[in-house]
Amino acid sequence: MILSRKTFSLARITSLEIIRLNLFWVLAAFSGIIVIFTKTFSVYSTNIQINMVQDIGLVLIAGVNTFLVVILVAWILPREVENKTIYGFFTQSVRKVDYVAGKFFGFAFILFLMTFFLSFLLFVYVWLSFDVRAYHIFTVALFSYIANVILLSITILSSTVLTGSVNIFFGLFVYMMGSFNQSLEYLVERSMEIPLLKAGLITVLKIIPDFDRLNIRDEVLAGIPIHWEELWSYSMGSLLLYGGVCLITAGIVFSRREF
Amino acid sequence: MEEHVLDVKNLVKFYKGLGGLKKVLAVDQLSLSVKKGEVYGILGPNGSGKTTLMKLIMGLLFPSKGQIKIFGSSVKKLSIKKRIGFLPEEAYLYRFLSAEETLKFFAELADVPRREQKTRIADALHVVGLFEARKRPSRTYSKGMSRRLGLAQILIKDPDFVVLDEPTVGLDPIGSREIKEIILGLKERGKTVLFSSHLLSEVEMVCDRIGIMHKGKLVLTGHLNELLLRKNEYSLVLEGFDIGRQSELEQVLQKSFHAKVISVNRSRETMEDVFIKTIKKHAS
Repeated sequence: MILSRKTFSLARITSLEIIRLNLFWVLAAFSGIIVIFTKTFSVYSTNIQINMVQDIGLVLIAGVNTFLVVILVAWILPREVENKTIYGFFTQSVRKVDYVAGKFFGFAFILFLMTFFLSFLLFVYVWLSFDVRAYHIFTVALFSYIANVILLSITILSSTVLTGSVNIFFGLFVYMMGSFNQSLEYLVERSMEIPLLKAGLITVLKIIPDFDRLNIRDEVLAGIPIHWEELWSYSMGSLLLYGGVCLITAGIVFSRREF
Repeated sequence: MEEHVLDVKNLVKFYKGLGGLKKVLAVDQLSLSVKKGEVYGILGPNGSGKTTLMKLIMGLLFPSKGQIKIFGSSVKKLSIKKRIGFLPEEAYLYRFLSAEETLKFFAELADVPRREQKTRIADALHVVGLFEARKRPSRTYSKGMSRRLGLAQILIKDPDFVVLDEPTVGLDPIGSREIKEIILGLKERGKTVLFSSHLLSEVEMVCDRIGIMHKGKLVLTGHLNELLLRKNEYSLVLEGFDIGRQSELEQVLQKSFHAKVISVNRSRETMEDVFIKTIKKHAS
């Protein structure tokens, strides 16, 4: 069996750790307040207001989750190694891969909770304020959730070798590169003159997931048609590929590492 | 043939420096074995390599050379880890969990059957004296309480082999005595215990055999009695004796038993006994 019962015990405790952090609730409350007050500060016509509220709300949903991954996850995992809390697991009959997977599922559940809570709030708010049932809010939020789960798996892998503060910067770097992946690739193609450096940079950009492709907010709000089949296969493929490779590698790194 | 729970042979551990250079020799050609049911104490000054040895035994560090067998197998095997309980030098706990939640979590990790978890957790909390504080988050615990929670983690697992790294470090004499009693309790239940300490009295009170480590080497090993008892020298404890008649006693002993009195001292209690008695008296 790939995952054991212990994976889920670890996932439960990981989720509980975040839920018991004051920062989590402050973040949830702050995001909720911003969603609700967006309309109050705008002076535009109703049509523009609907789009603006959704736009800000969806940016917030993606941003809060990225913040959770890049700041909290990137910091919590290396801290377990530095604080030696990890001794408690690795001296038990717990496989390293169970530990890594437990952390992954625990954090992924928290991201899901936050995504669902904020998108539901945004949906209800748009419905009550403008009498529009904007179901596409959930679709856009789902793809931003997938992007953040991919970032999560990369952050978990980097946590096995980096310290907390370095890992935060690494997570931010991956997120930024992934968000501007296509533009950066275009820039490198056009401006780089040293072939080896050019090839190297393009390879790095190809390895980093294309988060921009999973950001369908502008297209949905502007009514631009989306190739759903292509989007689904890209998102699921990336999720399985990055998730699988990162978690297995993290398990291997941990099993070869001294504590 | 006596069954060995732990067998360490020619163990060497280098800590590597920058660039993979061999830098510090933490454990040097160390061999030791611990028999089933015995309490083995590793004594040594700070920096002698005790913690490194414990971590090597638990598989948290990898040997540079040599081998470690626990129950005849490598500690890397999960089935072996199931039979071992480990208390690191500091009990690193999840500060957001209460004692009860911590133990429930570790019971799940240790594969304690669900139907037994509640009883085992309650028993362990009683044994370490944390039952009243079981609902409090562990971040509010004192160092001694955290240490006892670390021990409770081991007790719920009910392992055959218990490894304790400096179990009484940072504890007051009462906490320290309680932990020694828990170790003795484990011995009575047939468990094998290996523990490290730099406190001589502690080791003397609970160990069957000891090993003294210095600069990564095991420089002396043996049974406590072999190491501490002086040959042909005994102490006689008398009650109601008139010290003014000491010379008469010495003459009788010389004449009838050809024994020479080496020293006469008043019996003393240890400071630990006085402290514990006083605290207990005031507590009651």
